[in-house]
Amino acid sequence: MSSHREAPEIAKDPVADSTDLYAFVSPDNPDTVTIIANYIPLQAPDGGPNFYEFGDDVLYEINIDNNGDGVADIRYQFTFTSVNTIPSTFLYNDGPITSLTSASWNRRQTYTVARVDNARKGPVLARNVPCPPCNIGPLSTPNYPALASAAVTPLPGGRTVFAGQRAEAFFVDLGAIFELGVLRPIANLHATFGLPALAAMPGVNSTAAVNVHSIAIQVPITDIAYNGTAPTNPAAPKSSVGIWTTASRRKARVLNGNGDQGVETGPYVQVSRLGNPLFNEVLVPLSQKDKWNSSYPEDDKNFVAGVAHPELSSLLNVLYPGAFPNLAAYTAARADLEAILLTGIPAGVVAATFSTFTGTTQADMLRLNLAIPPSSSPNPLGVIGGDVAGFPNGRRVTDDVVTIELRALAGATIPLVDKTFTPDAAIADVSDGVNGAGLALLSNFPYLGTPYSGYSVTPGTATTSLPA
Amino acid sequence: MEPVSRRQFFKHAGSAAAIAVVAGAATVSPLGIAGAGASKLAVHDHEAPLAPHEDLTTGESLVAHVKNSRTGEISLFIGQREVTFHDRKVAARLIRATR
Repeated sequence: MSSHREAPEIAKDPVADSTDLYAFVSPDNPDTVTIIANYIPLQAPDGGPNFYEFGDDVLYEINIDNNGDGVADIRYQFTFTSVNTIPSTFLYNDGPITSLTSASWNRRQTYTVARVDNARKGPVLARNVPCPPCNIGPLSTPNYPALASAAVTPLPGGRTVFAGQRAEAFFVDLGAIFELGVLRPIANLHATFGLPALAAMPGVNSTAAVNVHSIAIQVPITDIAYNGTAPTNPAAPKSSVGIWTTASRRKARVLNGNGDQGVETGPYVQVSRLGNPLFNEVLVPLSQKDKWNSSYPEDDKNFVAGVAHPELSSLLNVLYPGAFPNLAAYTAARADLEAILLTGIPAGVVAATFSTFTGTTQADMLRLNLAIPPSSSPNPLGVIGGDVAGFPNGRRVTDDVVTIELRALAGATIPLVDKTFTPDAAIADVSDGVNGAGLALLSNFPYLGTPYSGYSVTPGTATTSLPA
Repeated sequence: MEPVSRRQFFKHAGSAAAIAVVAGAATVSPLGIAGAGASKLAVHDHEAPLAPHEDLTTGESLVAHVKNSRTGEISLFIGQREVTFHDRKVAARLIRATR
């Protein structure tokens, strides 16, 4: 997945698990940037009575590097507090929740948001900001969109914030990809290790009908731009910023054994991070994934090998024999992937007026060129689809990052740096076969759709008509 | 871990690495740590009473982590700070307190 359960240790700590990061110039408010950081993957909407919430013991941060050194210049920090308002009930709510102050809502969460510099100095923007409840069903949360809308909170300086449950908008065929690299649309070409052949079929969206928890903030471009000045020339240095999310826990924890939270003390230490989708998931060896989660973008030179010579690229011609001969013959370091993921793409490579380059420091950050306006007709394939307002220039909610990155790994972007390379014809078929999340998105902040309610879902969709 | 009095705390000795948890002023040694790597804990002053400004804030806890008994490397966690110092005698006493 983008970064859901992508490392052994963080997979056991879902409230701190960064799952997706989106960053884009707001289509309905182009003087602003929207950044969305998702956590708590694969929420079954009916997972009560203790429905999902952020970790009160986790520091969530959205980090911005605007001078290209891989070090955060600006951090938006979020810390949460949960309370039970009806001590006598075992229920999340004992009646309909009709507002964010509804007396029947037992388990609530609020948060503090601050904007700090790299030394973690800076103002608290707001305290006690309410999260909406989880979406329970038509009786408990009868007008969920209104509850969520009420939790959209203006902040000083023209900023807006929201934190709470949303419908998962990331889409991917996990059941196939992690079945030894099966891409269902071309499953019939898979080597299958001598086992019976698989049939080609449409992809299956593994993240359909699950929810996530989102921290979304919309800020003026000047709030994150270098020197606080909105850039106007996309090719100019410092027009792009690097963005990544982190989750951190206190270094020491002592459990008292009496059911309370125990003692948590000491500095925060990072346990999860996310910049480009799938970076840790696909490019970092399993043995290094938790180390990567605890390391910093400025030190990503330590992980360059997995980008320069991606394991998945070398596997493609093995898994799909004969389909990628040009890729198989290409042994040079993947300078295209290093540029896309670690430094940004310099001006003149894709187009004279396009760049995501932030400098020579190799750092996994989601780079967003603040001078490129949003597209009026977004292409889910982003830059490789001719739409420079999409991934890897930031990431919009609808960008098909799985297909984009699979095709890049398959060699589609090598010609950006090596004109002598001809991508294999099979690249056009490289996809997990899932083209969208199939859900309604909001046209304005926080953009992600209404979460699925527990009452609305029907679990148990595994089918025995497919090979076991 | 059983509560350990300050006198018991310094009564024992040992050699293995350990984690020691100390909560509340009554069980905290009178550490006057200025910063990382600076041990101001002297054997002779371990019985000195805490001055008010040295005491823990109400509700605050201090956690000590003996990282290496041979070098006496001990990290203290308090608030959002980590203070590391080296004192083999203190490390030994902490370990003995666990026996």
